Amino acid sequence: VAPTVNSRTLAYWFYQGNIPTSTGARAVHKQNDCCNIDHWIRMSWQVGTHDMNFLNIDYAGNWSSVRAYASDGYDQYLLYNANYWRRGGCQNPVGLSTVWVNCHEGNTP
Amino acid sequence: MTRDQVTALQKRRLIITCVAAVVAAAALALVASRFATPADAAKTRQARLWTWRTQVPGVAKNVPPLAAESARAGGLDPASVRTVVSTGGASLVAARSSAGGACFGLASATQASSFSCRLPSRREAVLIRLLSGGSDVTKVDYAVLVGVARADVGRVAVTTVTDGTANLLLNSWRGFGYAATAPGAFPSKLSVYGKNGSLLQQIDLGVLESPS
Repeated sequence: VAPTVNSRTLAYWFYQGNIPTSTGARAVHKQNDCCNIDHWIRMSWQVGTHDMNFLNIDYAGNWSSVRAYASDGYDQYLLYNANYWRRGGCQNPVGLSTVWVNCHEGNTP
Repeated sequence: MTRDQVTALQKRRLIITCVAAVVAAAALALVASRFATPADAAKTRQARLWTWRTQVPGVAKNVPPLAAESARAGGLDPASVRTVVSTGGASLVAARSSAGGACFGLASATQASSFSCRLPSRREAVLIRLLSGGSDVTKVDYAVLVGVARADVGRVAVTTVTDGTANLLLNSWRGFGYAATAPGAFPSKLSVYGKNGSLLQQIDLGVLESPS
């Protein structure tokens, strides 16, 4: 069952699909738009599945992953400082099953 | 039959009907209470285990700045945000829920998660958040675990990937934390024990993986 976000069709999801992807990647991420310090990643994923991760990567390749617990709901967000982190995205932890994910730059549904 | 006798009979019937209705309502209430009491009591006990001496646990100082903005975005009062525990650059933060309980999230100097305001289930003795990262997308350099325990927890122990164990100190808000920078010390499992020593919960933390 795919996630049901009301205005999903109006939203800018930079990735909608399975993770791992068709190429086997367990993470998808996008360079954030310029100039706002506060940036958001919003992730909704297949209800009834497992925990996922939010992902940030900076200019030098440093990365940080924050686990999103399924028990808290399948639609969550992470706020991050874009002066520090250049990319934001979504990650399916290693060893776990394929999950349909909506990964969104922003916090609107 | 006279008019007075008819009136008296009608009054008697009315009284009997009213008494019967009251008795039936009382019986229904009794039956309902017999069904509701254990569940209600369990729910009340569960809610009590997730309370603190203040409505929102933690201290108001050193709250990561993004945590307040994340609380605001979630419809919570940003002024209510507190730090429950901090370790390894990550904090478990709490905010007051609209229902008067506590909501929890993770925050660092550059990140803040959404807050969870749900009452944990009866099987959950702790609420945790996990942060990991590295200096290169091909490797994991650190892992940080922060959490908060319910009131009947006496001890929280972490098992590392090399099967080492360490007891985690519970602070005055029942917060706890663990940070590791050596791969062998990364956390793999959390065991939660009651004040009587019984095992309340075990959590498999999974494998930490780099993004590439």
